[in-house]
Amino acid sequence: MRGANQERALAILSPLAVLVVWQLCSTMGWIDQRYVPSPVSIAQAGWDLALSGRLALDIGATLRRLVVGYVLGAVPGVALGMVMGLNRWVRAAIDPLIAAIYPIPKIALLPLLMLAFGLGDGSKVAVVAMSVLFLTVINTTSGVVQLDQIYFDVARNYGTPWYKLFLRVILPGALPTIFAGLRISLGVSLVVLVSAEFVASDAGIGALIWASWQTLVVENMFVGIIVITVLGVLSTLFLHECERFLVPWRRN
Amino acid sequence: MKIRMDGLSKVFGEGDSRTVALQGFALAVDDGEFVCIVGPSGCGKTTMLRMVAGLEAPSGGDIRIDAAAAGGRPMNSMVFQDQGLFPWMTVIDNVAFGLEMRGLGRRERRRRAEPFLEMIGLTRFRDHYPQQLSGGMRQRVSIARAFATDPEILLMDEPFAALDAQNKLIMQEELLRIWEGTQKTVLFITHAIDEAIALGDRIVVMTAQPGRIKEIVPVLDFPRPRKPVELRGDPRFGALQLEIWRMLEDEVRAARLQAKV
Amino acid sequence: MRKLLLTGLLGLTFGLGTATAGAQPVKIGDLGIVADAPFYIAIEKGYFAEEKIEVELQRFNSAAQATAPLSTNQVQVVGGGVGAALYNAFARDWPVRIVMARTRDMPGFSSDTLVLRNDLKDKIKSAKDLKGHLIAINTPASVLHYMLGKLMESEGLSIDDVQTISMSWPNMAPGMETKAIDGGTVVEPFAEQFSNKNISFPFKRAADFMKPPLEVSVMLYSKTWADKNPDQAKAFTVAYLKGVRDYYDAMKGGPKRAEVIEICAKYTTLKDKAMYDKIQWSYMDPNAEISFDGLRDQQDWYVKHGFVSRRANLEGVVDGRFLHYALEKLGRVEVK
Repeated sequence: MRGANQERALAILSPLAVLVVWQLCSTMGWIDQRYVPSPVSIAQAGWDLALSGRLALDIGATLRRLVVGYVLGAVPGVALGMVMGLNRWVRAAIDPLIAAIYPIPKIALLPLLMLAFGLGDGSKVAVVAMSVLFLTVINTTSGVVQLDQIYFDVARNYGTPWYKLFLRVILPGALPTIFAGLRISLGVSLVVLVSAEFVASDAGIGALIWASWQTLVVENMFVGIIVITVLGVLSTLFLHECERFLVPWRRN
Repeated sequence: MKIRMDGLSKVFGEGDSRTVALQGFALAVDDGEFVCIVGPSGCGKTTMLRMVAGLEAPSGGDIRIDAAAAGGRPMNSMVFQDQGLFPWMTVIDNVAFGLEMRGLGRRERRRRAEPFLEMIGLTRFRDHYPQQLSGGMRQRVSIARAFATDPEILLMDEPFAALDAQNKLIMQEELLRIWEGTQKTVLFITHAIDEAIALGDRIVVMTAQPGRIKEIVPVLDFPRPRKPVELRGDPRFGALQLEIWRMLEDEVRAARLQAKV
Repeated sequence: MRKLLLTGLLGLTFGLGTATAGAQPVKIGDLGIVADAPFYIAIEKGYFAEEKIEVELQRFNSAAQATAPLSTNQVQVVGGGVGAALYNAFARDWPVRIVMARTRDMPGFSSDTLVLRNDLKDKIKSAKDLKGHLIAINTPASVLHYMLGKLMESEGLSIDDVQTISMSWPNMAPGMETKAIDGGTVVEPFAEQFSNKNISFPFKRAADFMKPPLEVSVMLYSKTWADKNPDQAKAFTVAYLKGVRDYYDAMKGGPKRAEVIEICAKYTTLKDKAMYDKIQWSYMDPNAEISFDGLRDQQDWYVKHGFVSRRANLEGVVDGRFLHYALEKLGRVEVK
């Protein structure tokens, strides 16, 4: 157990150390503060943004779009993936569609999505949902298809009705792979969302980053980047905890 | 007659890839009998077992199974070569799986599964996951699972093949200990002739593909209850083993030739 | 004797080599817009070559993007839009200098326009009627944003009385077509193109209400470059000013117009030559003199609205030496 605690301590100390070194270099003038602001000035800018309420507004907008888009993509994605995994005709019909659309960077579709869903939340949620949908479908299908035949043999031998087969064999069997898909989708959706907020936005962390760069208020840009990083870390942790709860047999 | 197979055959594939796995297989098994099946690779023994289990449909011939008057017991439970334990269920839930599929609630089925866990000596591992167990332990769980639903027939497909020699001997003893007194009919497939002799009342020797019965050898010299380890010391054991090997030898060589072509 | 001759020749070659202003080519950060015309004209008509300068063009998407490379001397010259980015760069002591004016909006030569959706033509008659509407701007705290703010202030309101959203000019077209936005602040040729497509009409041009005239862009030099290569910078300014004067002539409908349009169509993103007669050109002062009042008012506005945190001393960031030299050499043009 001591090893794990030491690891945890290091995980917190090492980024802190980086910050301290950074601040030192900045104060000593080794890092040009005109281009790379010091951690202290970034913290100050972050504080100002928080006080003005601007930061809360942007975080709220981004978070809202992330959660809604993610759920809208993941739920149908997993459902469709399961159907495709279990039924070869559905799989044969839909696979080519996925293969054709998946490689298109969803950001490239953003202008179309803006026409269809509007400039604000609508298009951002849509682009996130699309990215998540494709990733989860592919992973879920794979998770179901690669289930060892022996599980089906055992289930049949012990007289498993179809709904129990689904709930007690197929779903848990595919769950680790499904979660892999969910994890990848989370990372991708954050990237896609921030990029979309660069293109057309009134609020959101992406809009904050982009606008700060356009007006050369570099501190704010760093604040935005840090917020995104924190958002990414927290959401990954959250997903990890969910996985620990739902997939306890993979604890190693 | 508990199980009767007549002219059983199984064909896979068509045209160029057509294989006759089993042909004209006829066997009658008594209630409570322990029958071992030995044969070269590809002789269709697993296919035959799967057909008895209902996992595969015969291409020709039929299987008749005499169900016991007392209803509610499952006809058969199969023990697979690579256990087939569900990694997402704990040991106790795996053992209780058959009971769960028969509609028992969680508390009830776990209660009923406990004694079987004790029977294989793994009570301490009740809440562990299969990945945390060794191969031998997993196979014991698989056997416990098969016994837990109290089936009339046990179908076992090379259950000890993956174990090392020492664990194999121990498991053979365990199996006999558990089985003796339950009156279950057992069909047991194995590659190891010594194992077949140690466990079985009769030994069915199969030919190479297409699989048929070459010979049925009764094991008369060793009354039950048996101690598999001690049997090895008996000279009649070695003689029987040699006799059966002679029958098998040609078939094994033929199978090897088939594989080369 | 032969050794002396050889050494002499080598020395001469070296001397000539370094004497040629243009030891390194001057990198220009251009945007491919009509305001960059003087660069293109000076290239095509050999003005840079006359001053013994080589130049290289480096395309950027926006002036704000070009400002950072300018400050690190990766490019030496940029025609920069006035905006919060520029003032923030000065406030951070970035080594860039304003050397002369570039474009501004004058009556008849006002590219900066607020366009509104056609269906709002009857509903919105004055700036007061804009209250509560959603207007798209291309970049926050840009000269167009400032323009919109000044428009609202001209009728006693403020920028906070409208809602704004940032989007690129091309995206404003579908934005208006789907009625997602009510209008946008654009430059030519977008104003003309949107009118053509029946999407919007020009509601107000900057020259309609901006007093003093809207300073849209200025010429920026990298301070590092200008300090180390003053001769090259001077020569560059001379060549550039010649280009400006050709543009001015074309702008006024003079004999050079066809030629200038030809050059613009070749270098800028506006390839349709017929369009040049339909749009309003940006105004360029042939003497390129800066309006301090205009620059100061913009800075104040950005500071007031929180886009710029620290006021820079504007006199300190203007370096008039090069323009002074060029005007001495070429003489002034009388502006009618």
